[in-house]
Amino acid sequence: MTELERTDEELAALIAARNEIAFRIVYDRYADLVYGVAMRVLADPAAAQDVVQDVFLRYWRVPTSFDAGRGRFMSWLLSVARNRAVDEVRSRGRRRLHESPPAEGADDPVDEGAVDPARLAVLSSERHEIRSALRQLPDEQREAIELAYFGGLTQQEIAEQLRTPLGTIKTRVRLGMRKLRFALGVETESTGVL
Amino acid sequence: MTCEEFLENVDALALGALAPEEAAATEQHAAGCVACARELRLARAVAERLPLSTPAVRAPAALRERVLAAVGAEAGGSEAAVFAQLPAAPPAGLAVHAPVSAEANNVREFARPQLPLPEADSLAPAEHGEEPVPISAWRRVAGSGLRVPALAAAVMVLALFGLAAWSLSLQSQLSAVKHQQALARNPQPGFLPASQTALTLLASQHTVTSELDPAQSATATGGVIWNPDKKQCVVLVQRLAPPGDGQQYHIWFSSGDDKWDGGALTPDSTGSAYRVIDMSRWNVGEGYHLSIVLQPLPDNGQRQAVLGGDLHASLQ
Repeated sequence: MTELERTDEELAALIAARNEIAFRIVYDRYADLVYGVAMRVLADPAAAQDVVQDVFLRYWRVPTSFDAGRGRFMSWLLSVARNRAVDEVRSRGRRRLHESPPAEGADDPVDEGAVDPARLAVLSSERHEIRSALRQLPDEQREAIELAYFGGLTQQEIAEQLRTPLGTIKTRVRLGMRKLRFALGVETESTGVL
Repeated sequence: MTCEEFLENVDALALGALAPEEAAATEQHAAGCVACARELRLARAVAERLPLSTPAVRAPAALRERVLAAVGAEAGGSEAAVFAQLPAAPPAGLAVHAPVSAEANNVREFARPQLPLPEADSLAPAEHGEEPVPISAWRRVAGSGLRVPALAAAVMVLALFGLAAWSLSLQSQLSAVKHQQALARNPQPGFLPASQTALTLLASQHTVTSELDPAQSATATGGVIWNPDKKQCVVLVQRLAPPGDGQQYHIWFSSGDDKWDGGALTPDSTGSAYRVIDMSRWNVGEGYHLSIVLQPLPDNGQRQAVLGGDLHASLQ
């Protein structure tokens, strides 16, 4: 097995044993995705880079913050990045999120180190699945979910921003999330680690 | 909070869209209710997939250096800068990183003879007692050779063995890089290096991913990642039966009576195969049919369909 074929969880175990090479591989594998999430939330390259640095350094300092028994490494890392970016937004005071994804020219591939055919296939499938599921939602449900997750807004704040009754926003969030749950097959994952 | 009230809030909680006091009350309810705890787990499973809907954006190289230098500094003090200068992890595909010159490696050799190379073995967790002697300590010991000749000699021998082993490993790494460079310099016409193209597609707008339909009696499954703007696609197939003697899987694009050969598809031992295809030279695109067939070598036109599907610029 080459180093690049190691699973995220194997690398996480090595990082917990203070292996710098494993950390470098994880960085090369996910920095672009983490940066993409931070950019989506912050729409500010300098702030997004601070988030990337903070996320990875905190992970290096406290590698046990990832618990393999509670879920997948990639999901955990990207959630941490989102949370950290939202904290940054909140610390600056509320601002409207960067609503549309980065323009075509701003897109860039994640590092080549992340690419082996098996991982590529899995990543591709997962990204297609969630994008497709989001596209199938009515616009107003997708908007409410994205304002909450990527904008870091509470339902009350979404209602105020969209000048829509709070009850309506709650319904949009609830219905949208239920549809996503069904579309992603999460309902069938009722046992075991999610 | 009742279970009914909890269910009103659980999705918003997973999205982080509740005010702090409301979030605390909702979480507190889940802590004492098995059914509601499961609901929260499911809602969080949905929320944690949302980041994947966001395109990846190339993080600046300087950021990588900063992060790795900081990690190196925390792990090994003065080794930080050296660690940050290591080339990025070599790609699994055919893409090539910046060449590693022998001169640069020599600089690293003298600066840090104990530097672990990114080989598989180097990933084993370090064990106590295996820390190599820092170069500064080595120099100190060697310099006091007249006073402690035996110790100095022993350290010298160990250091020489270490350097020899490291040099061999370095040569191996350099050879791999050269091999990748050669592949990149001489790609097959029409077929692009896999890693860079595939991830460019995945990170780009207007990329469509669709499944291919299996032909009757075929067990294979597969899909195509296609970007009509970039005129590139990646074909991924699983569970292909091993081709018989004198047979080969091929990808074909067709429109009416016109056909274009997209190249061979060679499954590995697990039946998986993939191919990155530059479609621009044929002007193949929207509405064309993509087929994966098993055909004889040489091709006599008697092709057995395995998988197929039409290329559409939007999700079907």
